[in-house]
Amino acid sequence: MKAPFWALLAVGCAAPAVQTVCEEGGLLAEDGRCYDIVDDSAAPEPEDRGEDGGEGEDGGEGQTSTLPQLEADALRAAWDGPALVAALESAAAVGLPTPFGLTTAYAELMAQGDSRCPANPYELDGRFLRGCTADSGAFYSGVSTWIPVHRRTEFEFGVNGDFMMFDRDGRRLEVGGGVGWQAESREAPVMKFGMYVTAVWEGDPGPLHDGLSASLNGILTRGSGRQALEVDGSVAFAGYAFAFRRAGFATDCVGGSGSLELRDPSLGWHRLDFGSTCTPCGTWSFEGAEMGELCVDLSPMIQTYSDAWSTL
Amino acid sequence: MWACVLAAALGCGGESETKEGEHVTLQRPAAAVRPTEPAPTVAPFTPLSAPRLLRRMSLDLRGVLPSVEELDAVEADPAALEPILDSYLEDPRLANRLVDLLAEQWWTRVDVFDIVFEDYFLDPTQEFAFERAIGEEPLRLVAQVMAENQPYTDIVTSDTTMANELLGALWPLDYPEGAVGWRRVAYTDGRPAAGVLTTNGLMWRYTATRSNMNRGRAAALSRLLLCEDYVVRPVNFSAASSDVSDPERAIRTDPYCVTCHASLDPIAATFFGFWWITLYSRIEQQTYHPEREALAEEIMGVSPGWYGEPVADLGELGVAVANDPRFYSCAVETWTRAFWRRPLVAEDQPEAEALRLALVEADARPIPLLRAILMSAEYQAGAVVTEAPEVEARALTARPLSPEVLETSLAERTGFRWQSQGFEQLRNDDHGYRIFAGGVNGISVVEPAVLPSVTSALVSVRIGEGAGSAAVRQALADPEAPTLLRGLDLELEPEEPAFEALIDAAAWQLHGVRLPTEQREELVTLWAAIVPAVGPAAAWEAVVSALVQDPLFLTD
Repeated sequence: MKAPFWALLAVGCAAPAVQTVCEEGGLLAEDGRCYDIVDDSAAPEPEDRGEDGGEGEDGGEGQTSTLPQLEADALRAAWDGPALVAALESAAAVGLPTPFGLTTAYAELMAQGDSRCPANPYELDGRFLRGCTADSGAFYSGVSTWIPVHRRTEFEFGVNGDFMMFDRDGRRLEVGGGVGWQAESREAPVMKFGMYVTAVWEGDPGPLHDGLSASLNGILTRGSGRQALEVDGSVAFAGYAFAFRRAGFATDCVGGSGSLELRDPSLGWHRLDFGSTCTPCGTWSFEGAEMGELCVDLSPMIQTYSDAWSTL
Repeated sequence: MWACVLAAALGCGGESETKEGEHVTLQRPAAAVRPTEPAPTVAPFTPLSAPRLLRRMSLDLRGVLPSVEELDAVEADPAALEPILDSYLEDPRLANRLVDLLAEQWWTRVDVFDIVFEDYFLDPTQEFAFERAIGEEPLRLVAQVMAENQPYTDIVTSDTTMANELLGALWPLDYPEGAVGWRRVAYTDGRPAAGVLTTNGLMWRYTATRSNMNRGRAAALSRLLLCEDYVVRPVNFSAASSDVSDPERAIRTDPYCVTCHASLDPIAATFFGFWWITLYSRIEQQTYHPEREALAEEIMGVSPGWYGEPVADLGELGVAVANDPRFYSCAVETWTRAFWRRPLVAEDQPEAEALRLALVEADARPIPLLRAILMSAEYQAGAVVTEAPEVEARALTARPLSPEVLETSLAERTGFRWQSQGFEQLRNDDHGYRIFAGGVNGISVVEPAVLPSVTSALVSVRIGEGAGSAAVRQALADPEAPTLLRGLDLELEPEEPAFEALIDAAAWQLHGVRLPTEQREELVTLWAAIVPAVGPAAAWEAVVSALVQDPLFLTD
């Protein structure tokens, strides 16, 4: 049985090669043999496979059988408009996770250590990669960096590392990555923050309890009785997966600005484009298909940040 | 590889290099090419004897030696071989063997990952089990699909994976509480259904850094599932005009970079759910990050795609892979290479095409493919009979047993298991001798040895000693059990018929060849020389050891 060389060409031509014409008029290959140039007009193009997607059957040399063709399940949104609004408002009610929850938990757990374990009040400096247990019963393992030890401004906090701790009650704090936030002062009108982390804190009453994954940065501003949050990146919490592009939320804004995406249970993505200024309604699309206009109250989304900043 | 080898030999391609090193852009040929003469066949050879062929099939498909009854049957009637082969293809041990064979090409069974057993606070005696479970996860999914004769496309579309109780306890899987052993389970962290493409095992082996942005994974996908290796593409970096200080710009604009990155980067973009912020963090790596899917376009500047066709996610990528004609060619290449024990070359193309048809015509169900490979003349080759070049002849016939088959075959027939601190010594290199024995560690050694070496000889001595000792111990413990030395009686003397029968039966089982008189006499001499010093048990151990160290045992 001979090879269907046109099929080979279709599947194997990625590798560049030397092409030299040999005396017989064909192509001289690296094996020293000469290959005829054959008109491939009889060879079906990939898109010329017939209704069943096969490669054709010429009944002669080079015959191939029909290749099974699979159809990707078309992504169909599990959420319709009202369900999507409900999901967005449910997530907003939980509130966007903040760096403060992690830094606060970290500081609390480090305070349960002692001079023997972890032997450093601020950081896990590598002495106990496999863990130690303090007199309090708290457990520490891994490495961490506590930003205030190294800070450049008066009001800069954060923690980085790869560590796992248990508090004296056996509740786990595990972090891979880091979070940080920075302002010129406690009263400064602008605070920047970043969260590049996967973390879980079982002592958290909020979304950290079940885990957080974030690649997110943003700016929090305040003044004239108003607070506003702008975020870029992505975050998963409380069973929701979001992506933001200059997404803005504010205490005096019902909707939002910029755009956000939310992953549907079907694994496709909903997108809401609000425009550059705060509007209560945005343009809704699912996997690139326009779905209409959607109005949603996202004002609670900022609440976690407002609450945290006011208590710092 | 055969498709690439042949395609390259035939001169197709886009960007390429001339003999003088001058780069020119060649158009993809508008015409197909065909050899002016029939391709030369591989060197003629004699087929194996039926018992040796049965032994080869049994070791390849089950990892154990055939039974005496099976050997007797095919010796009496070679036609008995095919029904036995069919029973082997339904043997529950088939999946384990497919795992071992695929590990030689997928390189996932490594001795260390970024996440180590201590990260899970496991006992050191669990290190080996931890590392093997991770590395075998994708291999076992493929093997399970094949052993169940499910469509081969399931390996890239399945919504399940394979896990044992250890992985079930560590990862977000719906592994049943209290269960043990490998079984089909599903991840519970919202990752798409894409078979091996969404297994932690594959992602942990083919990891990604922040700057690599999953391109290594995309290249691995291409090598493993299309048999197209980006890494071996010729690229003349010195001729590229780009500023190396800005590689991200170069890969989008420099023709020498675009050649690969135009197709590679959109594939890489589909893996952002596995893009990790920090390496060496178990919480980062054990869980899929759905929210990061959306970052690909922003970070890489390209959308997920498969050779020009957009895909939404890894689930659609898996379907695109399954619909690619190269996927079938690569399945044939992968498994033919595994059983033929050599890479395919251009001259193999007609046979490879026939095997591809066997797969396609069976609706991608792989058992017919395996059967066709094992019934091929190349698989059944014994000795080369013409003046074939030495290298070619060796590639055709040299088939040393892999360390894994050494382990399983001796364990089954003699009870010998070489273990230390929880490690299977023929399956690791941290504490063991996998590479020494000719195996693949998946990092620095990626091809099985085809020739004996000093280290493989040393390993054969050790396993000979161990197997001899175990075989005698086992036979004395239960003389009637179907073991290598069944009926062993330490009072037997060489002049008794039962003595010779015992040696003959052991050789028949281990070699699949009737023991020649001259060799039997040598073994009797060996036995007699040892008895006065250390007794008959040690003498029988030496006999078994000698049989195990014989090339007839160490090869198939």
